[in-house]
Amino acid sequence: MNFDELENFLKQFKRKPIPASMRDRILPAAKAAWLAGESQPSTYGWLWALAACIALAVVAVRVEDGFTKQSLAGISVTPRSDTVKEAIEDEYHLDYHVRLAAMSENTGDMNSFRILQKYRIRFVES
Amino acid sequence: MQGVEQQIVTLIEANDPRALELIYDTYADQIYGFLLGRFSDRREAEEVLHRLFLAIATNREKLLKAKRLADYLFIMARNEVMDYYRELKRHPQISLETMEPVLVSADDNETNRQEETKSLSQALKALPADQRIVIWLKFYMDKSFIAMSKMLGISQNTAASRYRYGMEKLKTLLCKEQES
Repeated sequence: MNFDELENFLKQFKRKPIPASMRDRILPAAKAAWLAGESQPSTYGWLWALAACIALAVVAVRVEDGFTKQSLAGISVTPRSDTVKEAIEDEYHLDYHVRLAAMSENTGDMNSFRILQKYRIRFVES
Repeated sequence: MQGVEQQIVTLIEANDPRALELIYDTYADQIYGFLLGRFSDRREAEEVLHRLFLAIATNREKLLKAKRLADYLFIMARNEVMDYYRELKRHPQISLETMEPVLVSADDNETNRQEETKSLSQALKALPADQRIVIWLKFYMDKSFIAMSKMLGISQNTAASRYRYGMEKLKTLLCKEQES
């Protein structure tokens, strides 16, 4: 079979048309999807509102936790806030300032490292 | 076709689901033909056409941004094919033995060519998908290489070379079939 013969052979056939029953199978499902899609904006609206609330809450916490400086025995600590202070005191049952003083003197203490990491506390020479 | 496209756009803008009927009546057979060539299998073509219409229904607002609706629908169809192929990696493919022929005799009076339509359908199915679709579009959807390049998102030269390689392979497959 050469190239022309193959072309002629292929031309002796045609593709099958779309089955008539497809219309009744496809369109009802597609229309249902269309109508279901109409309620999506309000659903998404609620989701967007929820996402916005979460984002605002996160920003508020970050702002509250961050970036004020307070001097402690020649050491500036940042970030610090009452939230961080209370969290450290609750979790480690230690006075915040005592704990900070210990951390500033003993940076090899793993417990201190965990606190530093968790609350993203950074010591800066004042 | 421009008038129909405008009607479809108007219906979508009015959020009227009758747009789906108009899209179906205008384009479904052409898209089905394209999908039949892509898969060389009726069931897979039907499945992807079904998915395509669900995608059209849920993403209808994107059709409003299309420059040419027909082109955009074929791009959507191509994307649905890709998604389907991705899923096929997780599911077994339909075997050549169980597939139905996707062709019939061009001569409506000639009904006695089942064996040929079956072996040609199987040979087409055995071709690499990229080569098969080019041959299919040329012979069974009457598309030029320019039209193919738009539909498939490839250059005309690529379409032409895929056609040549595909025809060579098809010839080999059909000769093997004849010998056996």
